[in-house]
Amino acid sequence: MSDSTRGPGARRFVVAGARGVLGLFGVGIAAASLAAATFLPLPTLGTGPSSTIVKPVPSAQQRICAGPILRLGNESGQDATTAISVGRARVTSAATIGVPRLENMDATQNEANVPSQRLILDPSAEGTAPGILAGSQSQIVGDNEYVGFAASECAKASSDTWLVGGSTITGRTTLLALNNPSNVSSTVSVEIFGENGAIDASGAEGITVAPGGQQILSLAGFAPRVVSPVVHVVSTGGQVTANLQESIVRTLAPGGVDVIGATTRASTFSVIPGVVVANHDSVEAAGGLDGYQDTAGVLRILVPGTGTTEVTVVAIPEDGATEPSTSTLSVEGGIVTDIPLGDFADGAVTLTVTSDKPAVVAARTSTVTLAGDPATAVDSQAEPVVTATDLAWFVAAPELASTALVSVAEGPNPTLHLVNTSTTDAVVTIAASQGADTTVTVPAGGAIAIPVVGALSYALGDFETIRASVSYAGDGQLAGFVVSPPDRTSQPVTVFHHFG
Amino acid sequence: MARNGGKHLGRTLAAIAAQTTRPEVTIAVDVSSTDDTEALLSAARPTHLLSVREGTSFGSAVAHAAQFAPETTATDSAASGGPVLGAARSNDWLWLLGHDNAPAPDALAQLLAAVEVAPSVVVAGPKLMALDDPKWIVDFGHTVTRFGASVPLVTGELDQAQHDTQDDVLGVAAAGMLVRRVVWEELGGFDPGLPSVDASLDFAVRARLAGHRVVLVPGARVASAGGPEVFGRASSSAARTFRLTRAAQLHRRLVYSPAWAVVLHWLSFVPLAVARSIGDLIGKRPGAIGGEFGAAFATAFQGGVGAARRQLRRHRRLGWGAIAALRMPTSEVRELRAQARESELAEHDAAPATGEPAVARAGFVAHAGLWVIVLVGIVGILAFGAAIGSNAVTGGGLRPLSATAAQLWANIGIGWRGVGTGMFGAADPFALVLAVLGSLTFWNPTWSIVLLYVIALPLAALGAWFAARRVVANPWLPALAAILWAFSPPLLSSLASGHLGAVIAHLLLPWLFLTALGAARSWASGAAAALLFAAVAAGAPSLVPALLVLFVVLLVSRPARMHRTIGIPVPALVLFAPLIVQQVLVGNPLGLLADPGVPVAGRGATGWQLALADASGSLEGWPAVLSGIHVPGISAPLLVVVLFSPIAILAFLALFLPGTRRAVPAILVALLGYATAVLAQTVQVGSVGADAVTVWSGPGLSLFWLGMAAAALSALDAVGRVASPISVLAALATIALAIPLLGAMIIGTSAVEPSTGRILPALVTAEAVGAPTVGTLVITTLGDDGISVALERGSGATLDDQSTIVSTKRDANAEDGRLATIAGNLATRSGFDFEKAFRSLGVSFVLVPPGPDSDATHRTTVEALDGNETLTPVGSTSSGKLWRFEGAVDSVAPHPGNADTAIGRSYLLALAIVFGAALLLAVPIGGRGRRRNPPAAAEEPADTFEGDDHV
Repeated sequence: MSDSTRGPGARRFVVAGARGVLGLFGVGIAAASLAAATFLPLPTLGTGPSSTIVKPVPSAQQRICAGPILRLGNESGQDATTAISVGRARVTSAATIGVPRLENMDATQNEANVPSQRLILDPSAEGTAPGILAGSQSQIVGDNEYVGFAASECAKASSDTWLVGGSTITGRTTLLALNNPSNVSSTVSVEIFGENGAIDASGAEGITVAPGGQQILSLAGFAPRVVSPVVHVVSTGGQVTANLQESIVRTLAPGGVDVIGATTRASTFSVIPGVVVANHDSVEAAGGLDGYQDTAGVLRILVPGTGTTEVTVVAIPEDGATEPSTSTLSVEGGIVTDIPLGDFADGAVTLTVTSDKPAVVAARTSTVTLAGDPATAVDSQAEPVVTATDLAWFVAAPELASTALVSVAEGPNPTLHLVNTSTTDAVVTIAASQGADTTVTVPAGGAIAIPVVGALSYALGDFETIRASVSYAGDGQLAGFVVSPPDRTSQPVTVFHHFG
Repeated sequence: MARNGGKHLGRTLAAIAAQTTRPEVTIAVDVSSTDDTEALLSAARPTHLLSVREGTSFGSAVAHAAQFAPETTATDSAASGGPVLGAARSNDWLWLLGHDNAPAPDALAQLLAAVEVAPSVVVAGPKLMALDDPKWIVDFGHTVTRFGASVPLVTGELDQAQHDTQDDVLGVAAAGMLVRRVVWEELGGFDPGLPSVDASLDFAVRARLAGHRVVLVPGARVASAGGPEVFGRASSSAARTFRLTRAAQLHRRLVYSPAWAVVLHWLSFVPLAVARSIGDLIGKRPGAIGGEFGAAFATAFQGGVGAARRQLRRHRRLGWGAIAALRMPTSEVRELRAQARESELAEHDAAPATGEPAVARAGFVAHAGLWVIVLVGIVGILAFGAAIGSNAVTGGGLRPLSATAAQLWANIGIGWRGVGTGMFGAADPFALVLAVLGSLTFWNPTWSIVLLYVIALPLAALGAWFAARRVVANPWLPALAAILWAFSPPLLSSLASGHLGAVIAHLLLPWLFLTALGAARSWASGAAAALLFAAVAAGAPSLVPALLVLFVVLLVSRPARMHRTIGIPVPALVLFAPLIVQQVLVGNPLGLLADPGVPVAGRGATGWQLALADASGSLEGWPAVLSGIHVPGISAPLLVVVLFSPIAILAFLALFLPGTRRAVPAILVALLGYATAVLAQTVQVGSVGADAVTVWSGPGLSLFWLGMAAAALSALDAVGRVASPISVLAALATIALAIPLLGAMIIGTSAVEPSTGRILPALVTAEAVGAPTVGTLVITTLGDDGISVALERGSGATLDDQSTIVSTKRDANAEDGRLATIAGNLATRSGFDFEKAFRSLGVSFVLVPPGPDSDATHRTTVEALDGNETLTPVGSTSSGKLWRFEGAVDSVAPHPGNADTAIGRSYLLALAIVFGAALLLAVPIGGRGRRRNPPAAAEEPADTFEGDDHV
């Protein structure tokens, strides 16, 4: 039947109907394609990235030990720009494979000095895994200006180091030591922050450290009368190790010495393990004395940049019984803040610092020995008489993954601190260089202390992630250092090809 | 002489029988006919019935028959159904007739009467009339121009006795020719070298030179179905006829020329063929090109010239001056051609008036086209004008171009691909597009990209306006189309991410559609479509499958015009051929889909994002903008959907409205584009660092957007008066949708930004001036994934150096492996022998692009390089940290360029021929090809008759 027989109206109706069907059909197809494209798992065709795992040719590892305590000028106060060594530090070292060599570095500033030393571990044989190298040094000094005990880890060179600690107010001397163990010259820029913000220091840029050489600088030269300095060392060219050495003379009484190693890079989560709290009653008693205010424990914190940042500090005791204590405060960016530590019982605590913006942190505690019986000295209302003091800076520890090596330099009551910030308990196997292996469990979110023996090394293994440090505490002797992870050097590198 | 002539033979035989003056002897020759010819001939009882083998020419058949002519004293004889001869040694005449040549009853009498009164006449020709309409003259005498081309004196004219005054001529047609037998035998008959066309002309010329006369006899009429080229055939194609004519002309040239000039003429054949082919292309006669070369080669290597020359020399009594008066003067030739052209044009112009509905076309100025483009141009300057003072725009898929146009052209074809570790192979087809683009601003090729960015929007608008004008009736809608196309998200997205190929494809797509739709009607349009197809395919290889589908649809929809449309993909095919071969040989055909330019890893868009024309998965930049200006309560996806909806709703509405003939194909195009975009994301073609590079969805979405916009226009065309407010709404929504992408370069969310045009740090660039192969290792740190390493030579691989054959490589070669080894060792402290590696690789610099501060890999890499005693730190540059290897390095052996190998040269030649031919054919001059044959024109009444049937 033709349309013409139905008349124009019917025909229009048919056409409109056909269009409607067509339109609905079209919309249906569109909806179906959209759904298919969105929900169907489409296969991936073709070639993706191609990569090669490159095993670098092994090279010698090295760690640089800070060397002896230094002072500027000789004992008569002459020659104030020359660093002169005081005594000699003792180094303990170990390697999981091979035997490390101990070499003297060039003492470029003063040929007469006892040089700082470096540990060198030659590459292991072809095809075997690289060994782990570790070392630490300690020194007990008893000079008219320098007393106390200092210990530090032999450190890896780095192009970017944060040093938190020291002071340049009257009676406090802080030296910045830069060692360049590489074979190329290094250019170092030093950025200094204080309690009033960044310090514009002339001459702090472009400090050249010769290959294998050392530069000792007085922090006071850049930043005089700063209570709370934080130093950021950036090197180009050869990498350097940097550390601070703080010494205190209160009026005429020497008040302690410490070598401050690098803390971790600015991070939103930092962990300072094994902050030793010693003789806290005596410290509190001495705190009232003129010049002894800085025996009180502080947490020094700097948030680089601007703006205020909420900071949460958690103190984790090591006895496993006491609950961690938490405090929150706000910190101004770019300004160094010293936060007084709370009142802790003798022992050690682990401090964790969480902040919105990355922060660099370290903690300082002191030990004070009062004349007479400590208990009566504190209880009596008489002015306490301090017979010995020392201070120690405890820096944030880097995360260790699966394995690490700790060399414990000789010193009073060495203690290994292990912190587990993960949510599962960590089981750590500790293999001493002499004696039997032990296995310890670090509870989730907890910290433990293990007494260790000086001049021995301990291989830590079988864990996922922990942080570790070593502390020393004795009468007028206090120190600590953190345990660094094995060198990334010589680990296989995934190299992706970029064809063009 | 008969060959498959059964159709006409009966009539011819009857006409011979009805002659008032009967031939004495009739000799019929059957040239191996397969139909009833032989039976008809024998039924006519000729004196002799001969049969010759297949393929014998008219002339040879006559010569054969002449031998059988008896020695008589009678006045004449005739051959019918074939050469028909009468013979007498002294006064015998041969009358040559083909199977179609039915003579009028008094034809022979008239011819004989004419020759009897003039003893010097040895050849007489009748007036050949059209077989089916005896009022039309088809042939009445021939002459030659000054250059020896044969010219018919009369073709296709109504016989009003206007030519009856003709008498002495240079030549006559073979059909119906009356020739004195003595002369025939003396001159050796027709030249065997001229089997078809011009045989009788040549014979007549020789007769003239022998001192005889050749005349026309207007009173004698003989029918003819066509010239000698159709003897024994149903028809002769224009190309074949042309080849025969040209071959005959060249043969005669060799025969007639003085001995010293023969070699010169012979040598000139091929160059002349080339030159004439170019003329043919401009004249839109591509079919003649085969004939030019066929004739040149056939004549050049065919024997018989010597024999013909001897024959001529033996009997020549007069000089060439004797026939000079009978040649056609050049002025007359010119006039004839002009007349032919005019009559053609008249036909063309007359046709649209009858064939096309009288629809007023939108005026470019009258209907706001100009204003829209000016406004879009202003927006384009606002969006990208920041770049205009810069030397280059770089970033994303963009890099600067080579410094000179010559270097750009050196990067096309087959040669060494100087990117990464390099490879010998096929250039990306896009290199040719870049060479053309860069040559536009030859003083600074890179700046052409800056310019393209600034005028991309108005260019898109321009193309869309003209394309839309062809498909819509409402004269205001092209303005909307221009806005939709200029502000289309895929274009802006491609601009922001530096996908230059996709941008060019987007700009050319409207022109491609416009010309492809016109291809069936015009050679120029078809050739332009072919060039545009190649350019679009080169810029966006991922579009090729969809375009081929549309091409097949085009072929099928116009099967009668296939000869003009079938060639559209040819230039693209030639352009891609080496790449196709190479990718197939290495087993990576998917690599053909890789976008040209610097590989860019994108995160990809989901299916619904693609449906919102969002190629990059960033929702046209809205989430970033909304979070930047802190507008609460607006969800970016919802906003994008709302702004996209006018187009989408209109597009689907088109299916419900009149005009579905346009709406359905448009929606299908959109669907095809969407499928292309979705599938493109599933194809990985190489990598950047640890991320796979997938094919860019932009071109697919351009096609999608084209379909959607076309459907929307179709709907608006159908709704009548309300179209205007809806158009304004749709335009405003699209512009609003595009705002974040338009502002991308200003607010810095664009990967592309104005730059100095340096790829590597200034120190390396300066070093590269003296040492063009100085190597730079670029080590990019990838966080926990590791590092990636690339090699740059000289001042860095430019955009035209990029090659998909290299970037889609599946496996690293030995040199890539060495690069990885040295990079892996550089990135950590290592005891590797760097000096040796740097020296043998010819690498003097190591560059580490800036990395995030939190990237430990970046830190350790920089530290390791800083501590590397074989390297000297140069410092931080805008491209990253640079180290230098001070030692001497081995120089890199020079690599073959695109013209240094035989295959490279051949390919360049092929490219030049194909693109040169397409270009000449596309030039819009010299069109409306001359046709010498009005009846053929009548078969195709008008090229434009089919009119602008919409999409």
